[in-house]
Amino acid sequence: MTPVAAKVLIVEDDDRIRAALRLALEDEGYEVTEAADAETALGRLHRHGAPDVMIVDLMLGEMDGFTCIRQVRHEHDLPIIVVSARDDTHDVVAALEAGADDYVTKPFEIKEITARLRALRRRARAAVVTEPPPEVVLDADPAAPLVLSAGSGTVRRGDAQVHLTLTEFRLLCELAGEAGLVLSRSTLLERVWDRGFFGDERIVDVHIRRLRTKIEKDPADPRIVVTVRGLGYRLDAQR
Amino acid sequence: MPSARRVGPGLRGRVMLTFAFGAALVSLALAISVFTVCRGYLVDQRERSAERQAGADADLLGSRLDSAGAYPARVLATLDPPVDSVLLLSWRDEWFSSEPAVGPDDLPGELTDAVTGGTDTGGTDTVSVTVRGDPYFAVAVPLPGVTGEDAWLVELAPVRELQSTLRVLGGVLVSCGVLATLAAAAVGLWASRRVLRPLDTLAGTAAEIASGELATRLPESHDRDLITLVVSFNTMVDSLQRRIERERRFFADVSHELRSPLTTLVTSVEVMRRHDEDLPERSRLALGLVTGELGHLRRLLDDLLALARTEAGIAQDAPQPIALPELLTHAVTGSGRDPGLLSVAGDMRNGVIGGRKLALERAFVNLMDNADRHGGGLTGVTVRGAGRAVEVLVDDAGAGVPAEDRERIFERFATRSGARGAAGGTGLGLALVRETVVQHGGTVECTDSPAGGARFVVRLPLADPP
Repeated sequence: MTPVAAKVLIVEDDDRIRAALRLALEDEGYEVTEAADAETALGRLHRHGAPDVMIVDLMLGEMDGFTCIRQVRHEHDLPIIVVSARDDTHDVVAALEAGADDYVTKPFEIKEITARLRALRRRARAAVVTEPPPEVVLDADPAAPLVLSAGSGTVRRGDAQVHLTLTEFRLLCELAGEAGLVLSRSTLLERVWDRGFFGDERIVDVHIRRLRTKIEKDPADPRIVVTVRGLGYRLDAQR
Repeated sequence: MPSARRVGPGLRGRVMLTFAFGAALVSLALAISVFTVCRGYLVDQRERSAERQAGADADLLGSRLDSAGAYPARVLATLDPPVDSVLLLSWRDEWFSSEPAVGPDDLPGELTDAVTGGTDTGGTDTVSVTVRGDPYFAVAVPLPGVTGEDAWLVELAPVRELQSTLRVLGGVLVSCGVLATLAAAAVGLWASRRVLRPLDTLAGTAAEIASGELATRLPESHDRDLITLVVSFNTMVDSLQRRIERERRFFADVSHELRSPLTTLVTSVEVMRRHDEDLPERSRLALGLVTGELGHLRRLLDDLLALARTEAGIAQDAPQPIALPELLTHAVTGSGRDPGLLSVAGDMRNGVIGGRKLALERAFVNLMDNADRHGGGLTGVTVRGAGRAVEVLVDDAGAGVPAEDRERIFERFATRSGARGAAGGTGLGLALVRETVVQHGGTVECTDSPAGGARFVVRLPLADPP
C-alpha cells in the first residue's frame, strides 16, 4: 500500500496484546517489530537504530515504561505513544513528563491507535499548518541567540543545537507561527496532536514544560513561551 | 437533604449560660445574706443608739422636772435632742411635744396605751413608726426620779438616713450581682472557646480529610484529657487511608486485569472483521454477535470502573471552567447525533460551570443513549438558566417513566424491562449520571416532557464569574 512502510516498535509484556496489535497494525500497512520488555527494546534501538514510532506499555517487567521512555529520550527524538491499562491520572502525567508524546487507554480500538500514529507521523514529516519564516530569532541575546529554523528542522542557541523532540519542535513552530498571539490549549491540542474537544489538555501543559526546560534561560521564569492565565500560551520573541 | 431541625444554642452557648446562671445564683444568695446581715446590724445599732439617747434625755428631763414648779414644756425645750429627733412628754395625763407639728395622735395606739396605761415595765421596745411621712424609731422611757408620777418620755429618732443607706447598699449589691453574672458569662465564653479549641481543630482536620487530604492528622497532644481522642482519631484516619489506598490499588488491578484481555479481544475481533469477506456465512454471523457483545462488555466495564471511581472519589482531576453549551455540542455531534437536537436559551450561550469534561460528557451521552434505548428516541436537549444554576433537559419520545419508578431507575442494574441485551444498556448509565452530577454539586431527576415522553433534568451550579 504505502510506498515505504512506517516502522513501529511495540513494547508490551502481554504476548497476546502484542500479537493482536501486530496483526492489526500490519493490516494498516505498518512494519511492526516487537519487544516484550524494556531491555530488549533498548537493545534493539541500539543495534538497529530508531523506528519511526514507538508504542510503549507502562507496566513492563523489571524496567517500567517510564524508565524505558526516559532512556530512549536520551538519544532519540522519535514519537512515543504510551498505552496504559490504568487510567490513574498520575501515570499519564508521569509518562508525558518522562518524554512520551501522547497516550491511549486500554482497551482501545485500533482506529484510536492509528489516529495517534497518523498525527505523529504527520508531524514527523514537519507538515506545519502555519509556515513560520525560514528563520525566527526567538531570543536576540547577542551572546547566545536562540534561532528556530523551521526549514532545516533545528533550533540553535548560539552555536549549540537545542535537541527537541519532534513534538516539541512542532509545538514551538505552531507558537512561533503566531508569535505575540495567544493560542488556547485546545487549539494547540487540535493542531499538534490532532485531538478534539475532549482531548486531555494536560498533554499540552506537560509539553510546554518540557519545551521550556530546553529553550528558556530560567524555566521557572519563562520569557519566550509565556502562560496567559485562563487562555493559553503565547510566544514572545525576545528583542 | 440537610435537616430542617431547629438548632439549639450550641455547646459554647450552653457552657456560657451555665456559667452565667451559676454566677447569678451565687451572687443572689450572697447579696441576700449580706443585705440581711448588714440590715440587722445597722438597725440594731440605730435602735440602741436611739434607746441610749432616749435614756439620757429621760434622765436629764427627769432631774429638771424635779425642780419644783418647772413647767414641762419649757423644760422640754431646754433639752438638746439630736437633729430631727422629736421628744414627747407625757406628764400627768398631758402631752407635751418638742415639735408643735407632732402630737400623741401621730403615735401608734399600742404605744400611747402602754404609756398612759401606766404599765411600768421600765420602758418599751423600740417600734417603727411613720409620722407625717417620715420614718422614725419610737422609744418610750419612764422618767426616773419622778416616782409616783405618771411621766413618760417618748423619743422619736429619725431613720431616714438608715433607710437610704440600706437602699444604697441594696443597689450596690444588685449591681455587683449583675456584674458578676456578666463577668461569669464572659469567662464562660472564654473557657468554652478554650475548651472547645481542640474540637475546632478536630472539625477542621476532619473537613480537610473529607476533602481528600488523606495525609492530614491531628497534631500530637500532651493533654491527658485529649490524648485518647487524638490517638483514636488518628488511628481511624490511618485505617481509612489504608482502606482507600487498598481500594485504589484494587481498582487499578481490576482495571488492568480486565482491560488487558479486553484489548486483545477488541483488537483481534477488529482484525477478523477487516477480513470478514474471507469467512463463511455462519462464522460471519457469529462474529457479528461477538462484536456486539464485546462492545457491550466494554461499555459495562467502562461504566463500572467509572462509577466505582466516582463513588470512591479517587483519581479525580481538578475541576476546570467549562462552557456547557460547547461541551453539549461536542457531546451531541461526537456521539453521531444531529446538532439540531441541541437548543440553548439566549442567556445561557456563555453558561460556564466548573467540572470535569470527560465525566460530564459521559454523563450527558449516557442520558442521550438512555433516551434512544429506552425512551423511543431522543427528541431534544435544551439548556436554560435557572437562577444561579443551569438546567439541561433531555427529552425523549417514549411513554414516560411511571412516577413510582422515577427514583428507582437511577439505581444500578435497574433496567426497566428487566430483560438484557435487546436495548443494549449496561444498567449503570443512569447511576453513573447521578453520581457524576452529584459530584459536580448538582441534581438530576426524571419528570414528564410536555410532549408526553420522559424528561431528565440535570441542574448544575454556574461557575462564579471571574
